[in-house]
Amino acid sequence: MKRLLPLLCSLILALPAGAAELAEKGLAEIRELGSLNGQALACAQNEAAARIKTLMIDFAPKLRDYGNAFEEATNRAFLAQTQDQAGCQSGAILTLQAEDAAQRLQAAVPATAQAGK
Amino acid sequence: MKRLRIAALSVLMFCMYPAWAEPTPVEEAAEVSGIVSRYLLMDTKGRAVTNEDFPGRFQLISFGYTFCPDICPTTLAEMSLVMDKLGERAARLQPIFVTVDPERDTPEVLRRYTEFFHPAIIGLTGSPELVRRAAEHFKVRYEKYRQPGAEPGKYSVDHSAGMYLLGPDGRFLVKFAYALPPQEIAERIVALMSQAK
Repeated sequence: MKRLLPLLCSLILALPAGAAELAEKGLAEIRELGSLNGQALACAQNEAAARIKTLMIDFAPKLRDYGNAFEEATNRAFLAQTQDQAGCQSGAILTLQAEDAAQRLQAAVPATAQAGK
Repeated sequence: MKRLRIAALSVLMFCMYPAWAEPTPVEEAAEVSGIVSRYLLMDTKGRAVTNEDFPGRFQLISFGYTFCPDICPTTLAEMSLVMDKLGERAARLQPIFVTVDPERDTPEVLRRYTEFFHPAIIGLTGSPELVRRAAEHFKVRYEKYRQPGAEPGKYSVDHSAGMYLLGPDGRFLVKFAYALPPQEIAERIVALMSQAK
């Protein structure tokens, strides 16, 4: 029992650290997807926006931090795009960039880490 | 119940509608030039909503806030009557109320407020920046007015009135000026719906 106790304690202490580590992984890619989503919405690229939402549903871990990061990035990009009146990228380019970000997201957060989240 | 609601709304409109006898124009050319119908907001269930989210349907949009003492309830009562006058055609119209006071108008407050006037009206809110951007696009001006010495949460919001109609493609079609009778608005919408067929 004396040997088991330190092991249990170290496991318990390691749990939040593991969760925190997971929460950091893939956030940059999620923000990138959010940014592309904001641009797509501001530019009425509906098919690209729909594809980005599907990628999020398929590959993003179902954690609040990821959802918030996506939403904040979407809002920021929408505001920037509509503020600058900058030229819009085509829907095809936005979709390609989103697919690329989604691939990197999958590499950063493997499917096993997403399951059941 | 429906008759009671319509009667209550009619009384409300009668009491708050001194300008009723003098209808204003359907649209004010100077005010509508350059309107961009683009918005990204959030409904009362937390879902993102844009002007592109109602394909094939018209959108009738007004801006206001739930603490609003006069213009907003009148406008929403108008909106409700327009829906009733459209009859079956109302299925092709999405009425929308956008709050210009997202700090106080929580989703739940907004939901209860719009539901009182008509169950089909969607309340939209968002971050102050997104609401400001939507208002700018529709050329809606609004500003908080706080009396000297008033508590931080006690203020009114002066804002532009009227309703904006977007077409089935999400593009701006026409602005209905404040105080235009609902019958005229409904007739205009029916005509536009016929053209859009």
